[in-house]
Amino acid sequence: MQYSRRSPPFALQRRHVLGGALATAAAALLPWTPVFPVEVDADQAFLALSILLTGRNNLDPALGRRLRQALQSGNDRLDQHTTDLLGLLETRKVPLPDLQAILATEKTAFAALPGQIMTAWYLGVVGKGPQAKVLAFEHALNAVAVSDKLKPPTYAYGAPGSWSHNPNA
Amino acid sequence: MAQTLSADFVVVGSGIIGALVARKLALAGASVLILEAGPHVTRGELVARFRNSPRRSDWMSPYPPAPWAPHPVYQPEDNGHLVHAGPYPYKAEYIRQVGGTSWHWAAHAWRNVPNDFRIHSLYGVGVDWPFGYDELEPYYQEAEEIMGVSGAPNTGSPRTKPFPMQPVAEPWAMQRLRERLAPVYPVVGNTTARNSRSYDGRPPCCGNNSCQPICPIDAQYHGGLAVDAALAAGAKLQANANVFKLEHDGAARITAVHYYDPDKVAHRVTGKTFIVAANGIESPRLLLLSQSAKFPQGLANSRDMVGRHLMDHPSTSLTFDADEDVWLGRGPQSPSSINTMRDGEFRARHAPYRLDFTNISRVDGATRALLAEGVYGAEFERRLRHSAAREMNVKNVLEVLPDPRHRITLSDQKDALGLPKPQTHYSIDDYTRAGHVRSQQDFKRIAELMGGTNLRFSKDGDFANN
Repeated sequence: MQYSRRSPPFALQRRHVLGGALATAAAALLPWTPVFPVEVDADQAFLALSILLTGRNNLDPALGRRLRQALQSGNDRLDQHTTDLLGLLETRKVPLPDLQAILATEKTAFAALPGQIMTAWYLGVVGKGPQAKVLAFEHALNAVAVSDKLKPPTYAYGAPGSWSHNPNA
Repeated sequence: MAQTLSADFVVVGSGIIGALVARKLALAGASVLILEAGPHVTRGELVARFRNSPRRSDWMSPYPPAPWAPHPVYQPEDNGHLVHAGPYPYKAEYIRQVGGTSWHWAAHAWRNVPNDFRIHSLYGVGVDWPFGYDELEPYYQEAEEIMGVSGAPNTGSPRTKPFPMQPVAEPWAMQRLRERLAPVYPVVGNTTARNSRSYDGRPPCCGNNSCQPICPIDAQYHGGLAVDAALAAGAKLQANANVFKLEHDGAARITAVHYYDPDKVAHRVTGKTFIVAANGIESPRLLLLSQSAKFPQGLANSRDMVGRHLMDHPSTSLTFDADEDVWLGRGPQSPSSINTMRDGEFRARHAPYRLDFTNISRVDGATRALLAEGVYGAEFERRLRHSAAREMNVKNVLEVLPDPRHRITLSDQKDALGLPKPQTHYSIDDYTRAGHVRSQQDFKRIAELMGGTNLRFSKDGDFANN
């Protein structure tokens, strides 16, 4: 954990003040209950935003760090955009079902970020076209979300015939 | 000329066909050399490429072409190897590597039905074959025993001997289709080269559900295994040997082939007999490339027939949501189908077809759809699970009649080796389109019997190739 209670001036660019629901999301990552608002570093902010967007509060921080670094290679303003998007969600209390429409309408600089973060977590893919990279396969959230029913492709389902059983039983 | 190789039989192409021929000749005691344009790639490497591919539903993504042996790929960008003269683009995919394109097939190993051989006599369309089903039957059996094929007994192709193994266990989703579509449609197991038990040193299917693009355990037969068997029988293999010319003597007998290695150094290979088994696009391309003063239009082409009658079996499809959770993705990808429209008097009017049910996991596709829609939060996972559990898909597999206008020619464009690229001339004719229209009735009825909602037909006029 990169959590720090102090806020040295030189690190302001990498720190984010969170409150309300966002702080709750971030706090879920912490081993103790902080006094709000909390200050977190860029990895924590990225994870807090990821928790809000994915709706999952048990994201892997190590994978989150790798995803953030990969996203940064295509967007050197990623951390600022993360802060801005967190701010928008927090200050305006934007309901998630309305997020895409609002971003499209307002044409913000970070309009593409939620989709990129969701793609990174759910498909394990960062980037587009020839620049696209895979950072997760069996730990991509779309594999995790159905892991009680399906194995990721290339993983053995089980002994021959095990797939004949009713998956709903 | 860097070196000269020689053999009694020189086989150009290391796919299932070339490799099985090489094996049989080697077992008979002949010296055999297989020339393969592409590289040797291991199964483990292909599995790793698939898992690390950002385009998991692009089954060519684990098979990027080697610079010295280009083949067509269309994602993330069309590499332009196959030039489309139209009017309908024929976006064929094939793999130039040791073992060939069956590395990423779904192991469908169908026999024809007997009437396929007499469609002109019986239905007034197409042409009759110069021989019948009965003459071919022993060879079907021989190939099936090599490949390890199983299937249902009632798909319209009679047998004199049993399949070498029992069918692979039926996935739950296919069982539900079979139960709910009966008695309107008999859903039966596909005829596939996929082990249901240990066979020929390979394990039974364990339901890895990545038959395309790569079976990670070799439970599914493929050309790489055929090459292994040919080499074990004594055949030799020269990979990275892109044959670009057949050479003939004054009596018009082929005496040598020429290939480029990865450094574009030309090599000459002599032999007594040459077998071109480089697929329906690269084989005619090679004959057309082999021009000489005596044969200015290429070899075997004095009647301008080389490359003509290009055929495929195109598909259209319907995706729908069933009214129960079936969870596609458990077991092999392509287990079951309906075979009742493969033959009948209707063939005088429209293409016959098989109706094929996919069992490919819907997870990645559903994820991409939700990402495109911009769904966030817990709703994303809820809808992902719903789609992964309920989505089903049925496609037709349509017959194409031989048409001399559908053909492979040489393009004016050159590939990286300076060789003219292959060019397609292709269209979907009224006969095939009429089969597509007829199959829409079946699509709707099948969806209805499964309590289907959210029906999504493939885009009108779009025909996927197989």
